[in-house]
Amino acid sequence: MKIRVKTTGLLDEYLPPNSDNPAEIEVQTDVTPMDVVRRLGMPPGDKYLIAVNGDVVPQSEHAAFRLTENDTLSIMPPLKGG
Amino acid sequence: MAWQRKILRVDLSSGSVATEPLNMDWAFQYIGERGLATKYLWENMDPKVDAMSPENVLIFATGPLTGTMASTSGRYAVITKGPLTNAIACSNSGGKFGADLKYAGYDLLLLSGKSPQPVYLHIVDDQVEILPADELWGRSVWETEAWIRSQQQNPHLKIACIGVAGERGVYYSCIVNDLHRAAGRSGVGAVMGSKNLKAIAVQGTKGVTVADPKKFMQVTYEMKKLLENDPGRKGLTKLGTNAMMETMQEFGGLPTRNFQQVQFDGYDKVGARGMRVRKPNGHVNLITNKACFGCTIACGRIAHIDKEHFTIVNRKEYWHASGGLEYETAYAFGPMVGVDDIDACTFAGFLMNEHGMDPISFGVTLAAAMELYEMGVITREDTDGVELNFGNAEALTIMAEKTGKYEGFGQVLGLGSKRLCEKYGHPELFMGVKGQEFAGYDSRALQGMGLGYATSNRGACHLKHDTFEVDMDDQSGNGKAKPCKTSQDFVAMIDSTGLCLFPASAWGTTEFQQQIDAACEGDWNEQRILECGERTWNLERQFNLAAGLTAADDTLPPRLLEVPAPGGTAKGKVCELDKMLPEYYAERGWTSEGVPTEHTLNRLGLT
Repeated sequence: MKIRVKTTGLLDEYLPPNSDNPAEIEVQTDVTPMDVVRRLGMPPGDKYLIAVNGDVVPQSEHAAFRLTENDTLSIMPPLKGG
Repeated sequence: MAWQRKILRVDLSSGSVATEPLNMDWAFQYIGERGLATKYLWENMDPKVDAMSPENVLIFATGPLTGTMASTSGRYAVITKGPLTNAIACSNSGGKFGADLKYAGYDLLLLSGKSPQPVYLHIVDDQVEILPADELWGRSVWETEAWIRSQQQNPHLKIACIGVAGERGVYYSCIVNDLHRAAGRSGVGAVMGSKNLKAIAVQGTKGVTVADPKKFMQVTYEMKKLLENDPGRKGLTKLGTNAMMETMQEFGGLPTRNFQQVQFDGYDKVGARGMRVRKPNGHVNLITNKACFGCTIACGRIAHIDKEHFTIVNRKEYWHASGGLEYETAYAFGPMVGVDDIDACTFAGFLMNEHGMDPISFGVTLAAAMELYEMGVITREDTDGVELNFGNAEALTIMAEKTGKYEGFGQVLGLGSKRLCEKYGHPELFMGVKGQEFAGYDSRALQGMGLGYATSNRGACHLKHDTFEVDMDDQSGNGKAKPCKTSQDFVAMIDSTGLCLFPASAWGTTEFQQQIDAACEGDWNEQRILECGERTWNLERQFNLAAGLTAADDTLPPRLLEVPAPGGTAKGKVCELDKMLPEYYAERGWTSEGVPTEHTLNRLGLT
C-alpha cells in the first residue's frame, strides 16, 4: 500500500533520494510507524515525535499503531527552540 | 576552585568601586550564575522597590564553569528586578563577554544606585574605572562597541551595552554583548539605562583554576564526544534553532497572528530551510553558523540581507553579515505578525541587536497592535500613517526601527504587549504571563508548556523548563506537573553552572554533575546539584511573593484557556491549566495559594 511520509529537521535526509517532502512510499500492509522508521534507515534508538493524519501517536504506540492506505505519517525530531 | 572567590561592587550613585570575597557558603548552596546571583539579589535589595529606581540592584554573574574548557562555557546571567514584569528578571547570554568577566577575576558584578551622568564601566583585571559616556548616550549598540574599542585602543575588550531603547526605558530592552548575543528578556536593558550605565567593557587575563585539572580534562573530553554524536546537537549545528519552525507547523503549535491561528502558510519561507534558499539573483540568506565561547554546538546563525531588498536597497550600512534568525525571532517576526518575507524578518532582527531589544516581546507586542488595528481600535492616526495589518513586512521593519529609536508609535510599542493592550482597553489580547510575552509555542498543543509559562518566575518563558517531549507525546494535561517541576529545577541548576541549556539534549544530571564535581571544590553529587536548582526556584518565588505577586499571576490569557485550538494536532483543545496548576503546587510543596510551605522552606534551608 502507499503512504505519505513527512519529516522535519534533519530527518529529511532519510527520505528516498530526489523525493518530495512529504514522500510517497510503498509499504506492506499492517506496518507500524517504527517499521517505517527502520525502513527509511533512521536510527531506531532515537526518540521521534510521530503523528498520523494530524493526530499524535504516543511513543508507547509507535511500534503497535497500524498504518493504513493513504495515511500521512509525520516523523519529527524532538528539537528545542531558543 | 572554579570560582574566583571575589565579587565586584560598583555603587553608581557615589562612584565607589570595591571588591569583597565571594560568600562561599552561598556558592555551595547555589553553585553560581543564576542561583548565586538570586541569593545576592535577595540579600541586597527590597523586592518591592521600583525596578527602574536606583534602589534596584543589577547583577552580572558568571558560573564556576564559565570560561573553562567545558563545552558551552560562555554563559553569564543578568539578575535584577525586571520592569516588564515587576518580578525577578533572570536573563542569560552567551558570546565571549562572560568568560572575560570571569578571567578578570570576578564571579559576580553588583551594580547599585544611579550615576548622575551617563557612564560606562571599564574593567581590565584589577583595574576598574567608571568613565564618562556622554558621547555614547543616544548611540546604538553597534556604535557603542566600536567607540569604546577605539577610545580605549583595545581590540580585546568584550563589551555588553544598551542601545537607545534601554536608555529610554523600552520595557523589553535588552543588554547586548559581542554585537549580537543578548541577555534578552524582561527589560534588563531598561534597568541598566535607568542607572545611566551605557556599557561594561571588560578584558580578563587571569584564566580559571579548576579543582582537579586532570579529571576535568578527561570528563569534558568525554562530554564533548557525547555531544558530538547526539542527534539533537547535529540538528542545532546544521539547521539552528529555527528548525523548530517546521516541527511546530506540522504539530500545529505555531502561534500565528497573535495566537488566532496555530499554523502559518508561509512557515517554510522564514524557517531554517527558507534561510538556505537561493533566490533568482543568487542571494542566500544564511552565510554560516557561529559558536559562543567554548561551544561545540554552534547553533548561532550569521546571515545577510539581499541588497536589492526594499529594507536596505539604499542603506549600505546594513549590507554586512550579522546575527541571523533564531527560531524565537523568526516566529515573532514571521507567523506571529503574519510576515513571510525572510529578508524583512532578518532586517528586523538586525535592528533588535543594533538598538538592544528583545525580539520575542517586540514581535508579540506588534502582533497585538496589528490585531487591534484590524479591529479598528488602533487607527492610522495612531501609527504615524503606517498600515498595521498582519502580513505587512514593511510595517514590521518600520515599527522595529521606530521602537528602537523611541520615535512615534514606537514609544507605544515600547510599552510591551500587556501595557499596550490595557491602554487600548483590550487586556485580553495580551499574549503572555506576568507581563512578559510568549515564545513560539501554543500551549493548547503543548500543555506542559502552558504550565511552564504560567509558573515561570520571570514571566512567560520557554527556557526555564523542558516538557517538549512529554507534551508532544501526550496532548492532555495529565501528568504534566511533575516533569514541569523537575525540569524547572534541572534548568535552574544548569543556569547556575556557566553552561548553556542546549547540551541537555545529550547530557542529563549525571553529565552536568561530573563536570561540576571535577571543576569545583567540595563534593557535588547529583542530588545536591538538583537541590541547588530547586532552592534557586523557590528563592525566586519568594522574591516574587515579596514583590507583591500572587497565585493569580500564575495564569494564561483567555484565548488559550477558553478558545479551542482552531487546527493542528490539538484541534478543539484548550490549555488545561486549571487541572495542572493545583497538581504543580502540590508537587512543589507549596500551599494551594502557591506559597512555599514552612516544611519546604526548611527542607531547602530558606528559612
